Amino acid sequence: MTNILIQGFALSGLYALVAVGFTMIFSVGRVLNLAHGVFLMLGGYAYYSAVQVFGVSKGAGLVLAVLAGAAFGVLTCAILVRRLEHNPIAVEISTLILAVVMQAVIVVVYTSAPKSMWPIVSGVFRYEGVFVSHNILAAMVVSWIVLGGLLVFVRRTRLGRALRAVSMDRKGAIVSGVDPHRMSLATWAISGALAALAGVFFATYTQLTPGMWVAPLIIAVAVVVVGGIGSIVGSLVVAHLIGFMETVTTTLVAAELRGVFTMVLIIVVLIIAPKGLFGREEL
Amino acid sequence: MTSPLLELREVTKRFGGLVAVDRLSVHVDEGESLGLIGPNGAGKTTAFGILMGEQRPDSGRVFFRGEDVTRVPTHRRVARGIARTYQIPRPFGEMTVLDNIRVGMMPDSVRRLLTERPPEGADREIVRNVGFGEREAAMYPGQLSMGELRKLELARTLATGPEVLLLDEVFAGLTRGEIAQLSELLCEERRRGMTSILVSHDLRSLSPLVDRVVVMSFGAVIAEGGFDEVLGNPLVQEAYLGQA
Amino acid sequence: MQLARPLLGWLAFGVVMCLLPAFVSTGTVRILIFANFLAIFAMSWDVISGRTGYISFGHPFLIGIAAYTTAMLTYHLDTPLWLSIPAGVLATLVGGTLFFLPALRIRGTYFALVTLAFMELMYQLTQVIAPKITGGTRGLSGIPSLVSGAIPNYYLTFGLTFAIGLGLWFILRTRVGAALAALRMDEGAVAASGLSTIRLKLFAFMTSAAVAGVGGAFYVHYLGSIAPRGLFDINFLFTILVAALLGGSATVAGPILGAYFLTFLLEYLRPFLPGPERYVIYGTIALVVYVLEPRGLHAIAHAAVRRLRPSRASAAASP
Repeated sequence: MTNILIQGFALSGLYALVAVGFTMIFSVGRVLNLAHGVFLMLGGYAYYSAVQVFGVSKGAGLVLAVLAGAAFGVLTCAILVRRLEHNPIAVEISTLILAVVMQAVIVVVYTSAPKSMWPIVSGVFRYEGVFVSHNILAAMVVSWIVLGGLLVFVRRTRLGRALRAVSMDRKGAIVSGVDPHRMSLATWAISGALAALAGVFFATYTQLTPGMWVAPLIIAVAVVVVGGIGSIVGSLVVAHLIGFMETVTTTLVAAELRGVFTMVLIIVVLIIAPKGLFGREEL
Repeated sequence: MTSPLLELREVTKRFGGLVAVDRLSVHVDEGESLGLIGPNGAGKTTAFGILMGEQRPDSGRVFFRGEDVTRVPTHRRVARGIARTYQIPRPFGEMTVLDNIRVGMMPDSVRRLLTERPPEGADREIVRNVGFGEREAAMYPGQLSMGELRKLELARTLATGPEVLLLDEVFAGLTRGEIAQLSELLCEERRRGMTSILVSHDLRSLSPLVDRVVVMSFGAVIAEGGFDEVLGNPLVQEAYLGQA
Repeated sequence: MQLARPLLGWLAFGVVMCLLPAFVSTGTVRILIFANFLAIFAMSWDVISGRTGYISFGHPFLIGIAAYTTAMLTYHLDTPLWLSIPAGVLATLVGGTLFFLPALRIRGTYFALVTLAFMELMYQLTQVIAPKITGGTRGLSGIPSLVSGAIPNYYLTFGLTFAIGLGLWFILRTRVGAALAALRMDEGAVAASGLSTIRLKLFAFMTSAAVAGVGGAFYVHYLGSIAPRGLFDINFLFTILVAALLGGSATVAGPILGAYFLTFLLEYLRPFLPGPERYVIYGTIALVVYVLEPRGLHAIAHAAVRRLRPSRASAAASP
């Protein structure tokens, strides 16, 4: 029981972090970024190269990964998404193609062999016979800090408020002097950075492979679809729903069925309540 | 007494907390031309949506020829003879004017669409009736003016073979000349015995086209009768002025 | 007559493709077999997504149902192929209904997500549920083939491609094609024109599923083996999607063109780039073409022909 609670919270925290950037992009630009999983993967590989190949310190590795994610986010937005902004389906298709291209790039650079990552925080937490790695606990803490920070950012800062304005009423925001293009660039940068950060933790939780982007993408889709696309609090709640269901399935039913619940949830919710369970569409 | 051709009876529709249509009862008799007017947000377009089955009322019923059609889906209502145009025209953008009209003429059966040849000539007759030439028939909606788009929408609606036309803001965004042309078309349809409900803000253009007027405000009927009689009603003046 | 020119085109296509094996190596013939399968899958995708605008990210799901059904029937029960292949197609129609249910309520980006979830769900379920029957992660191998050798398989697959292509072309040039196109442009306006959008969608989905089923069933009997990885896979989806989009969606020739183009692009890059770099180039080309001309090579070819013609006319006019 304690095991499920601790594992569940830790995993849910990680999943919330995985999904948050995806949600932001949808809120502000009304487009789904199917390359989101690739942003995570890039973060993971950037950290791996920096720390495990070039021997940079872990802290610097994290910073590098986050910067790489932000840069890739900006590039994707400026080169690809901006051209197709009026057509959400074209954005969805082109970001999916981009994801497959980036997967091929990773194979070229790093080969398709899986790489295992050293934990960012080593050690194992022991409590009443329950073992949880410090690493996943760290992921949970980071996720809480990031999400808390994001809520403050969106509500309190100028840029955050402008983003929120665009997500609620694009035309109104434009009329009051917000530049929507700069806003979407900013969103993609933040989303890329957060995804890369999540990717580092996600990769230490699983492993680095060129195909690793699919799983986090599905999680992000599930969190966002079920949480009502675009709601930060809704996403948080659903990340916990999925995280706990996965933990319960893994410990009590069968580890192989872990992902099944997520998929069934996406399908059922989209068929029964297409607007999600917390159907708001703003940040 | 014969029942009205089309009727909303005690219909209510809410959007969240907003009551768009509040126990609304409106009817139109066969061959009659009814003007539906009222300030912005009075619920006229919602009433059309409910008449067409595009929106489901929270309560109340819709009758066509005395039959309850509240649960009949849109395409079947069209088959029975109800058809509408939209305030913002909705042409099929990647099809020519003629092809747009042909969609309106299609039978509602995949088998017949597969096996039957399209009727010869009838499509071009509709094109001519609304005043399009061969040149316009081959044009795409993106090349048309607002007046021509409204004509296209009317043509596609007529192509479904309606008994009652619901016309939503047919004069909005048109020049004087275009309004005159479209009025002429509608008069022609009226002479042929077409029943219609017209929603418009342009009362001056509406007045020669309607037999009777219903005024809505906040989702309910506030006045009803002949055109001049209704406009003289202080309630109506208040609803309009209060809005302005 | 209107029919004559396109039919002549189909005839020319058929004749060229039938003569082709006499002029190319067996290796090329084997590549062409894959191109034929890809063409079938891309045509199937296009019937749902290109025509009606319901973007399917789960087509491997439909293909996989037929493939698994016929594979399991022949592997475990020794069912003859003439029975197992139709059974596979029938099973895919059930899958098509599963796709159809969400399409009653959602469209666009959301529909693509549900179908993606269907594919991922299938990927996980085939590995976990009854691995004795599905073969689990490793799949099934030693599945009987219909004909053996490159040339017979080529004619079999090309025959299928040609028949499906011509069949779809005949169906979609009727008013059904126009109705489906209208559905893509404005579903509400189609209903307001008196057409049942549900029945039109159902028709498109069932046609697409049937084609995917035929392709999937023959595909597994050609390969002789089946496994969840590689089949219920985003890369497989990517290839289908790109073939249809690159060639030109909402046309019949487009997906066929796209499938041959992609397959040969990949093959001709091989001598220069033997490694995985090929996939980068190939994906990038797909991305660039899609972003610059979402209507694909078909549209580019048309535009080129149109540009050539007036210039030829003016050249003839000036001495």
